[in-house]
Amino acid sequence: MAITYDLISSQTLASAASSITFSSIAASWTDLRLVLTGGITVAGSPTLRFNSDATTNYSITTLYGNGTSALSTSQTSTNKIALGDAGNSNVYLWTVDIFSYAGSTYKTTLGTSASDDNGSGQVSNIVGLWRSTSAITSLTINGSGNLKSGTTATLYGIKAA
Amino acid sequence: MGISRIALSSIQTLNKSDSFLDGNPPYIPSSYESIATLSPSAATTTTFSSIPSTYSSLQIRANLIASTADSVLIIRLNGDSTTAYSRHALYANGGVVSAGGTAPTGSPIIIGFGARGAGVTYPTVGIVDLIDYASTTKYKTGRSMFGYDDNSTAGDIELNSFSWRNTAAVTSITISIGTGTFTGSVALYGVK
Repeated sequence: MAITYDLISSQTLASAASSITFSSIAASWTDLRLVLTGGITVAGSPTLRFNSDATTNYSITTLYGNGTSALSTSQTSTNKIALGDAGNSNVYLWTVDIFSYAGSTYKTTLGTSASDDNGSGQVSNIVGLWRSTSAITSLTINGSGNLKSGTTATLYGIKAA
Repeated sequence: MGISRIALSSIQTLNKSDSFLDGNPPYIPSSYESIATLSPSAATTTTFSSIPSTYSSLQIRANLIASTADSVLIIRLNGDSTTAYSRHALYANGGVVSAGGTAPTGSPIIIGFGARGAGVTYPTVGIVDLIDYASTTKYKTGRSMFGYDDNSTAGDIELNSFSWRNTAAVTSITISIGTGTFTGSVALYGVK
């Protein structure tokens, strides 16, 4: 049996920063999985871009709950993928699965977010689309405001047989 | 190159080791292994067969493009097409959140669907977790998350729970589409 699920890289911020970038991502795996834990300095959503593409090639559909209601929104022709809203006073969790990232088809992602602030919070599932057929070789996570010191972003590669 | 002579001084300065593995990274068996990958092309069905019972759980990761919009994905275990399945779903399309499902004796074979909004251009992606699939004493349960987005207000994201009221070990998984065909990749992983 082939062994898979490899750690590609992990970065922990020693001080607050506006972004974390993983570059020179090899095409050695089938899918990527990004795990982001930490905080943001402004309540809102961290975002994700591929290959430094800041054009309006992105869109998302979101299902989320905030402790009171279940809601759904969509964003079309945006310049980044929102990872899910959170507050700015705690530590939160975001995950993103990026399918066939090195392939020549359009790139669809599945994301989750989990935030709780002892009275407010949000849980989200998000499908994202990057309308590009380029292989993903870099990805950049931007904070809402900044990413707080201690925030860790970890990138895994999942390799199919 | 063969060694014909070693100076005594060389031996005396060598680091002593109790293990021939010294200096090499330890081998750590993975708990997440790739079992098989299918690459259906304009197919109506694709099947993982002869699944070994050596894992605790299975995970399917799918990246598929459907030929027909508004189709559904259907998963059958061990080729069972009886009414032994049930499912509950929470799904949203960018505007409305809905919940649905099938009663235990309802829709006979659908245990997860994810291409409900799929068109012909952009991929539908999904992850299915099937827990304790090799048990011969328990009914099988699992969950799935599927999503599709086409830069419109017709996206689709779905969470599903499902059960298969059968105690047989799962040895095959068949994925088919309700209407049309699908193209892409479906990978099966084992979790120890």
